[in-house]
Amino acid sequence: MDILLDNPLATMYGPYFLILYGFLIFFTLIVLAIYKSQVDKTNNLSLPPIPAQVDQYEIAYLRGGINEVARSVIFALMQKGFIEILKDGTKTVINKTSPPTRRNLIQIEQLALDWHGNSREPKEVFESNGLVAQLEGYRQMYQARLEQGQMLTGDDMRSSLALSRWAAYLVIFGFGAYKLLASIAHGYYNVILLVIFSITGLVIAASIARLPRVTKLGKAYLERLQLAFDNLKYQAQAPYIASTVPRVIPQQATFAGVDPLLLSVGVFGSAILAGTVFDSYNQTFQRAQQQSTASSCSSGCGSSCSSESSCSSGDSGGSSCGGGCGGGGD
Amino acid sequence: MEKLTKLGIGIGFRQHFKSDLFLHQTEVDFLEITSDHYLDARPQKIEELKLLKEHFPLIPHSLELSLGSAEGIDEDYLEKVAELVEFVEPEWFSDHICFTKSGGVKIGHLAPVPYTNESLKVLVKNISKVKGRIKTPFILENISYTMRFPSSEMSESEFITRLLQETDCGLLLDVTNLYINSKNFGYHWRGFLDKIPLEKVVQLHFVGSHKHNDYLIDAHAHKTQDDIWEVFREVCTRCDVKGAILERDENFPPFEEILEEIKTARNLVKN
Repeated sequence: MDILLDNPLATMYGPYFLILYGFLIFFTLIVLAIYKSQVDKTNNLSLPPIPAQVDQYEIAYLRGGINEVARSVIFALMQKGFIEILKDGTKTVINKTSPPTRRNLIQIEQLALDWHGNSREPKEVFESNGLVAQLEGYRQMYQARLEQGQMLTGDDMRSSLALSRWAAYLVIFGFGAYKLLASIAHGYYNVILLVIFSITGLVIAASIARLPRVTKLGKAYLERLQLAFDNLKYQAQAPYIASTVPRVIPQQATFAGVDPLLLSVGVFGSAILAGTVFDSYNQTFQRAQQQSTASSCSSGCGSSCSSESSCSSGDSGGSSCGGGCGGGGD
Repeated sequence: MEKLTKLGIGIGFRQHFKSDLFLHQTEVDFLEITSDHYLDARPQKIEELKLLKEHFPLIPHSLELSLGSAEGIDEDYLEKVAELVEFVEPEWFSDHICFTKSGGVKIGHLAPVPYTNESLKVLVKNISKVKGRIKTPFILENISYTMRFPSSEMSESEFITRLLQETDCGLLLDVTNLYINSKNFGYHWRGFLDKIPLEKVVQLHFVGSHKHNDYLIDAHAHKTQDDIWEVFREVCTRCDVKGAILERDENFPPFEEILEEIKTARNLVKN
């Protein structure tokens, strides 16, 4: 036992040990960061072509997870005239309207409409028993498909980083804890800096070891979609730019079978609705997302794009990966 | 030229159509890109070029080789076009039978050359330089013009025939330009077709013409008219066209209208 408490490390003068420990933490974090950068090798893969039949909801899922899909579906229902957002005093509600037909709804939109019923509050969309729960089947399908295409970080990538992550934790915690015990055993109790170093090191290591939800390939694919459809964004917005002069909003126009504004929201996020007649939707859902997130999940916008958020929705990344965090990082 | 791959019917790539193109990929066989838009390009334009290349066969079409300039080819420009062609790896690339620079000054217009032996020599020399640098098949486009040189020693059809023979280039026959010139200068386009080596025709350009006062103009802004379809049809029955491009630069219609024109052209090429 003597060797454990009587060796150069255990008896090292505190400030010197802190310098050594600081270097050790720094070196460990560097190694961890280098290892992490090697885990995602998808940038070596060739980018998949843009399909002729674009699924705007799958793109929305890639960009921001199931919450982004839910937002897009609600917007589709609103744009197609099935629901409307109304202010009832201080409360905002989504009410059903009386549409002439359901023929132009696709399956996911019908499911959302059935869930909606007559009236809902925006925050209900994101609650654990809300629309996002109804869309679980779609979540699984999109997740599996995009993981298979290596656009989302899969379990294999996470597990390949797990060993290095735990090794880093062990080094940082192990050295700190050992010195802490040795110091106490030698009767030194001024260990606050040692504790601060350990905790800071562990927090930074945890932050570094967090893999982005979207892989390099997925990110490049999103950028490619945004490049391909960038002029669509402006063309789609143009008829809906808010104006003080009364005018008729055009009926939904199709664009190779896809509504251009819906596709734009899928590809770029609801932030593109700013300044249009749908701005109220944009603002309402930002607030709803914040309310829902605040009540069920402590992680904020800053932690978006991580696959290891503690958020119960299990889907992070939010639109900070594509369309601005204001759209609601999940 | 007969060994070249048939590309089908496409359109001249314009930003306005970009999103439509990706959503209608199966209906557009290939794209013609304006080379000048990708020379000294910003990274975003290079990304766009890569994106287009991965989804469509591309044909670079340049504007400023100025093959008819007596001062010779601008070597910097040629080098940039060569780099673009190497990157795009097209079946062929093209420019115009005209001059766009004089004394090193850009004139901002596709100007006709006098149909003389001297200009023929200039063109042959310049084209030989281009072909010496770029090994990809090179094809030459007939332009529309509003004036003809009194000093011309031969007809346009004879000039083009001799040029194609002496340079072994293919012909990018702009049927709209042919129709416009024939109307503006009072000859029949069929007679023109009779005189040129139609086996050299590789690609066609087509678009509607625009009447301004008494003159027809190649404005690239109108739907192809029946008279021009008639020229297109005749050319397709008389030669093995490898590709045809709809050139639309202004007054953009809904993309469905563009697709209709592509469909019409496809039917004519098939038949």
